[in-house]
Amino acid sequence: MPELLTNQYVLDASALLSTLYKDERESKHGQIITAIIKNPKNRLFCPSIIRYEFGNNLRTSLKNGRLSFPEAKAFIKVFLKWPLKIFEVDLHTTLHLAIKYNTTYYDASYLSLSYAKNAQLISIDKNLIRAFSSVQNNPS
Amino acid sequence: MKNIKRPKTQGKQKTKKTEAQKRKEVIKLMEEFRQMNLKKENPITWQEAYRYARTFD
Repeated sequence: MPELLTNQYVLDASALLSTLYKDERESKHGQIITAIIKNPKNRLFCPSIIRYEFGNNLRTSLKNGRLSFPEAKAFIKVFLKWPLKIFEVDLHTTLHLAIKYNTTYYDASYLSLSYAKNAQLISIDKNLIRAFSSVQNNPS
Repeated sequence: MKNIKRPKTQGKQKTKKTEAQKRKEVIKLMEEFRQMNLKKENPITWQEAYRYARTFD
């Protein structure tokens, strides 16, 4: 993988959710990621799966009575305002990465976009971070 | 009847928001949502929300 561009980031669902919800371990991840979003010089990317991950989060939260409809609407309002550029990923590259690094196709879509954009992947999901490190250390 | 063109300077001028202003606004919205969740008796954690996001059943 070529050298990463310092102001380009691919954000996954765990990273974005940590800026809105409480952390079980009271970590500072949410604050750090909020600062990345706040800096206008930073370009933020997501694969299109993010829409469905968030949709599923809202659907299950509503079904479980953890969220009300006005709260779900407020979440969507934030999502639509986030300065994210959403991309379709290359299906061949994504499949190749999913097989090579033994990840789900969903996770591989984040790896694929990071690869395409030379962008740092921001995630709090340990499996995804591990896979991203592997891609960086063992490209092609 | 002839259409009368208004000079460009008249009427409400639209001011374009800078990227920094847009980011500030979204941070404010995020904070409002965060506070709304924290007011709950049992606030949702990002770990719970992420579990919901990644369960494709």
